[in-house]
Amino acid sequence: MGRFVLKRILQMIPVLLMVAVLIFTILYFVPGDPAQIMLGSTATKYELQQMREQLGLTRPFLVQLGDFLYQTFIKFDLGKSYLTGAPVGAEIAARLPRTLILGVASMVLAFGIGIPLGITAAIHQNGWGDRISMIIALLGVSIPTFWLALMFVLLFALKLRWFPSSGIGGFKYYVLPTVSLCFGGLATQARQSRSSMLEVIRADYVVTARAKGLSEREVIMRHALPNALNPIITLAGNNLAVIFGGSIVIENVFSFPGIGQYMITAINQRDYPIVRGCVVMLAIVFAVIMLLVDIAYAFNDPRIKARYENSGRKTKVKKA
Amino acid sequence: MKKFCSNLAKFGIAAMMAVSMTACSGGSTEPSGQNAGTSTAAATAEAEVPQEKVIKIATTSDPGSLGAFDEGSSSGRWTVLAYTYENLIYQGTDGQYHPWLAKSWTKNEAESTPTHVVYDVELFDYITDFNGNNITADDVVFSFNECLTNGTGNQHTALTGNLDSIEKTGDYTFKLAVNSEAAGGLEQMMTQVMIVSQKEYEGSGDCMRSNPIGTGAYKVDSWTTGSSIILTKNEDYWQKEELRGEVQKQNVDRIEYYFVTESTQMAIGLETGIYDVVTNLNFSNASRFMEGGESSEGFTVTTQRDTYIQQMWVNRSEESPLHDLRIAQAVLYAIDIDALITAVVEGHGEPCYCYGSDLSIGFQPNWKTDDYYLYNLPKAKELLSEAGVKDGDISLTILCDTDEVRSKIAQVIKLMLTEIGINAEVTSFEQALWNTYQTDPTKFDLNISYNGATGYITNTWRQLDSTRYAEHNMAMVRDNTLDSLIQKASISQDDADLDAAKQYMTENAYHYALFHKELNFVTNSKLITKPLFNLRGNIIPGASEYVWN
Repeated sequence: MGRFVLKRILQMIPVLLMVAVLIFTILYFVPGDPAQIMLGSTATKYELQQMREQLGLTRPFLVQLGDFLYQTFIKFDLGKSYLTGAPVGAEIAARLPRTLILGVASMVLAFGIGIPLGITAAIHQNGWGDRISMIIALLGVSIPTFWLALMFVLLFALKLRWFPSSGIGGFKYYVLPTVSLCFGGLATQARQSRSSMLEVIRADYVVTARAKGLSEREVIMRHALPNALNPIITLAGNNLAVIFGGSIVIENVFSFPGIGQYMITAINQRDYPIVRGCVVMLAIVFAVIMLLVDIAYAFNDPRIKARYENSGRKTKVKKA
Repeated sequence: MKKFCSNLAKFGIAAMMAVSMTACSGGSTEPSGQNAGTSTAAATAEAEVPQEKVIKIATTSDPGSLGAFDEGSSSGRWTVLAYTYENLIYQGTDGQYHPWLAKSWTKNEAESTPTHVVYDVELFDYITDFNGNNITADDVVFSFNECLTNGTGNQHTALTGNLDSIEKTGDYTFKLAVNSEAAGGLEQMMTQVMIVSQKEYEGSGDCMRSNPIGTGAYKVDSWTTGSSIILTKNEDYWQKEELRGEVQKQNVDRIEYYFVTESTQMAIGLETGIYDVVTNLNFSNASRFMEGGESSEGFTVTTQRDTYIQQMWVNRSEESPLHDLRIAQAVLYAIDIDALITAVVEGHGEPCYCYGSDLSIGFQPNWKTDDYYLYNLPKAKELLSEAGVKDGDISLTILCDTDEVRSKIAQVIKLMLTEIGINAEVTSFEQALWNTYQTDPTKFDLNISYNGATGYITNTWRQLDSTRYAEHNMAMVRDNTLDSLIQKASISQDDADLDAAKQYMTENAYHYALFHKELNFVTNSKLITKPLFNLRGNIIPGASEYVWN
């Protein structure tokens, strides 16, 4: 298992390098001059040229790219903001935990509610429980996150005054953004759980378990659910990525100072070091999530675990 | 498990329905106070004096950096850091320049030449920063040089565009030389460059980005990037009580700025008591707090004319059909400013009379009665006919950024141009790209833009002075006559020279100033009895009056 994890970690390196090269290249060729933005329309050509030289923008593409990769992956320095001069790494370090808390809390809610909803729907297929669960799921996938967020603000912040409408602080500041963000994931999770459960619930081994006289709870929890879990885990990984992507919108709606809001502002200002830094950090987060999903597969399914272990032994035999 | 899941499902459905219905009903209660265009004071309850003298302000922009010479988000910096770092002078709410760190500044006629205009500046000799360092002429010279070398943004360009030299002449005196006799250069530098102690700046190790040590009336207590900044009163502020200007007053102990990007969120925060002041609220949100509005009780709405003008550059280069003066003039005559203001800002705006503001230094009252391309469709059609243009012959590109007001302006102008048979398409770009394209004559025919118009009117006109640019001015032409007229007026500030430049630029249709929109400031009237706003449209918290004053 350790070898598998190590192998997956090593595989992340070229992926992250490719992401870094890609984002650098895209930003290099995207129109919009940072020097012009910094100095405004009144700047002369000479001043613009001076600023471009100061920012290192006049160097050849490959030199800039090499410098960026060296600074990012060898010196772990994400550079400084063009506009503020503030170190990007420090700013990301301050904001990323907020986004992670938001994302993880949304994920926990989405899974914690979505999976039981899906299981209930599958157990009561075509019953009222199924219909209600699927209506919730349908609403969840149909309602745009930003609209739901605004509705929550109007109801819970303005009308009821239970939660603050914007900003950060204690627990209550996370409630509305988290609930808004989890809704889409909750819905897809519920649908996937239902579908996976329906596939396994009529399988021979489940019928056998019932025939053995096990309680319905034991049948579901010990026999059906573990076998239905793999597709659910796959979707969970994708959902987590979607949740982090969606947090960009939610952060702007709630004026929540996470990495998404930081990145959007930087994109508008052509502050390349910030955009590059944020994208690389998000790529690392996604890569780690996918790694965790793969490890979860192995833990849940002994067949996959055995395959990884066997492949390790086979390699050893070949070398010998 | 089964029971739990079914209860959960019931709750989910009920909650969804409740959210949609209740929230939508909240959104449909439109306020009725739409006509409250000017200052509207809500009924103020007998206010109790709070224990803590704290004010909470919602503003749009984070400063981005606390460093003395970093530009950061310009509006955020000027909103927040103006009370921590100080300049040599400041422009007051009366539009005039007042002493801040500089006690006096006088022109040294004997040493001045047209390209080296020398001013003798004297500092107060008892200025101290937060750590007790005495600020001297050495610190001022250091600050100017540091800003010139390592600064960015407006501070930096104020120096590169104007500074000729700076030289210490005594402990608290120095000579500041400007590279031109044009009015405004000195003030631009003295109001922009923040002054710090050389010892503290060099000792900070990070250009004061994490711990700003200024001389201001308020210190930075904490800064949560993207969320809030808390300022606390500087108990050892250097200036004597009786000499303090409006930017130096300390009527409140603690100022809390919260950064909120959404106008609706600002309004909700105000209603729910999270904030006491919201600046620059759009009309639909502000009207909730106006007389007759849903949340008028306990709030005061102050309306102030924006010092920025919404404007339109005309591409007069050979790249554009508007190179023909008759066509350019026809376009301007086809724009109905009153209808534009109604359509774009619901009537909450004032038309301009020339390129610049009537509040600018140098504006002449008689310009208000001049024919500044007043809406005249027959004349527009006549001019097009003279130019040999028929319906549908010309297609124009209107460039604008994604700002809500300017996007609407572009759309309305596009429609107005159809009245004279000119087709137009609107190309809207986010700020960064628009900023780049607006200097490219191949990218637009009309460019919807904005410009700050405080100080000298000739400063506003600088964007038409092509000698400041390598190739062309913002109307995409190089016009030597206009350049010399603007330069002459800038130096002399003489009425005749100003008038000549104004008439010339108007006749040549290089530019069309559209209108000033109105800004809405909403304040908690149970706390703030007399809010004071500066020309940039930000509250001056230290100089506003509160229930405890």
